[in-house]
Amino acid sequence: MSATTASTALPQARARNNWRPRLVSAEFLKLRKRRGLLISVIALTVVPMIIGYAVLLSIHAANPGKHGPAGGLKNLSGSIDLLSTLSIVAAVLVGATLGAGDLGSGVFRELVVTGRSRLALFAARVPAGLGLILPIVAAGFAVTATGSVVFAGSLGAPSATLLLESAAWLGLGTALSLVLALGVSSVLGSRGTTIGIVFGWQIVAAPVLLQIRALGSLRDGLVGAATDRLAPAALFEGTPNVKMSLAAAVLVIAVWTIVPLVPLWTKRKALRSPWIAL
Amino acid sequence: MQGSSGFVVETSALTKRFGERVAVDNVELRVPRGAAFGYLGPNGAGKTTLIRMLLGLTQATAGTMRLLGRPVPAERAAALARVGAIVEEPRFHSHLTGRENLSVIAAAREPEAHHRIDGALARVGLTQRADERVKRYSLGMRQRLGVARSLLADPELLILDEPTNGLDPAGIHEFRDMIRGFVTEGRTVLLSSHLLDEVEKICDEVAIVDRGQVVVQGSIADLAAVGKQTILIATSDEEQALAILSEHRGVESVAPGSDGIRVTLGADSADAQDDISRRLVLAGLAIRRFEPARVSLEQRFLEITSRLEDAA
Repeated sequence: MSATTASTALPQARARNNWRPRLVSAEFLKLRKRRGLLISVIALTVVPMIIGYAVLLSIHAANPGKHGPAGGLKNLSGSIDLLSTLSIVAAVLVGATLGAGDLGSGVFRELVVTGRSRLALFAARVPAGLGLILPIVAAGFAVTATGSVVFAGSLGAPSATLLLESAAWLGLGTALSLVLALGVSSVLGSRGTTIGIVFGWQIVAAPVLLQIRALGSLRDGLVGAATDRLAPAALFEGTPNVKMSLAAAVLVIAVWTIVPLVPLWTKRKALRSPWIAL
Repeated sequence: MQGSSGFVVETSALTKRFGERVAVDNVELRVPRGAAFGYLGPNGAGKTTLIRMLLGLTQATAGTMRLLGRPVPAERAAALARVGAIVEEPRFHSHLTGRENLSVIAAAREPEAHHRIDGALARVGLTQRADERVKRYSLGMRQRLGVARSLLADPELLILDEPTNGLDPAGIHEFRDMIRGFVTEGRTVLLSSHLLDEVEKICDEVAIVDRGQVVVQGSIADLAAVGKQTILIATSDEEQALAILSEHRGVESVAPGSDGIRVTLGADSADAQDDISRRLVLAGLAIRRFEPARVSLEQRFLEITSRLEDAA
């Protein structure tokens, strides 16, 4: 056991790059051990889908003439619409916790004195957060996808392609929200403030702005416009609020992936530098 | 890489200013390898600020530093790889267990750090409680977990900032033994404290710091010896002895006590002892005790700091 014997050589392991998965794993550990957060995320994503299909099945069983089958494309559309909003909420909770957790507890200082760079410590949070939120959202999606196919009855069951497109679209929206919340909370260092700001933007301000036609092409820059453009056409009726090309949508999403990291980028010198007040 | 000079910490003209206030003032510190080194000073003397600079938590205004022979901040990552530290109160994720908290820190260190977790927990006596959440830990247990965390680096240098804060007497005693154990293993311990007794009991060497400046630096025995000489005298007639001693030119002060008269000699006291004994004998007094008093670091510390206050 080397903790009892002082060695004379500095560790050569610094040259190795295998610390990244270990850092990601540590970030993941911190997240998954937060029972309250985990329960909230599951309650927001998986539970509503189970309840939703249970209700649809019940009312169909009670009065098949009035209420159609629980599955099918129409019900899938409704449940995916709900799940996409709830996934944003869950992702913001996870992202804000990830970004502010170490700073709030004071452990970030303890991590910094290991000599590991601050950028490396921040960078490990993104895959850890995605590693937690995406499987849970996927579980919620699995419930609704299964329900839409198994309980389609006389209605047409959604195709495998549509289900795959829907899953990818949900994952994209969730990941974007997580990165946005993570970036904001890493800068603010406050979970509560971050949740307030990002919720306000994602759930209230951005959807309202998308509805204001007077804003014209300015709306193209909203991430909601881009994700609407990428939404599976067969899932939602009508055209998106903002018409834009696929390339433009991809560009806007790319920019919005970077936007949350801009505050960190502007601080890059401080982050790379060993000096930052903690 | 090891410092060729044999010092694990070397600073040169290290300075830190907060606006007009100078927290660390031109500090020249040399911490020898393999010793328990006390960085002793009153609260607000700039001890924690110096440690924060060494660890890269705050930027120096001026001066240079070397840790384990490596210049910091230039080679900070390599230097800190073999440094374990507790800065102020150790912080943890309260929702994780002690073992998980160590695992989080081990992930930021070399891969071998994970294999040191069990040993580190055993070393600080937390094996039985390692799988409890830290929120249930007492302050003393958190301090011990902080030490365990610093051992994950298999450190050549341990930097401990006021590590016994909040510990009960038994815990403090245990802590002292632990630190001495580290030194026996060949590690160097830099212990920052405002507690004279603690430093005197644990450390081999000390730097006394006041108002951001290192006032004096050296081995505890040397520092204590360098101060004004004090002798204990007991005679057959204390009142007469007091009168003789009070009038003596070489005597700075006299203080009667239960074990005799404590006589502090002036700076120029080379022949004073001989002359005092001669006068006492000539006065017809029987001398029952005449020996150098052991000067504690505390006396030396008070001597130094009071001199500084007078000069200010």
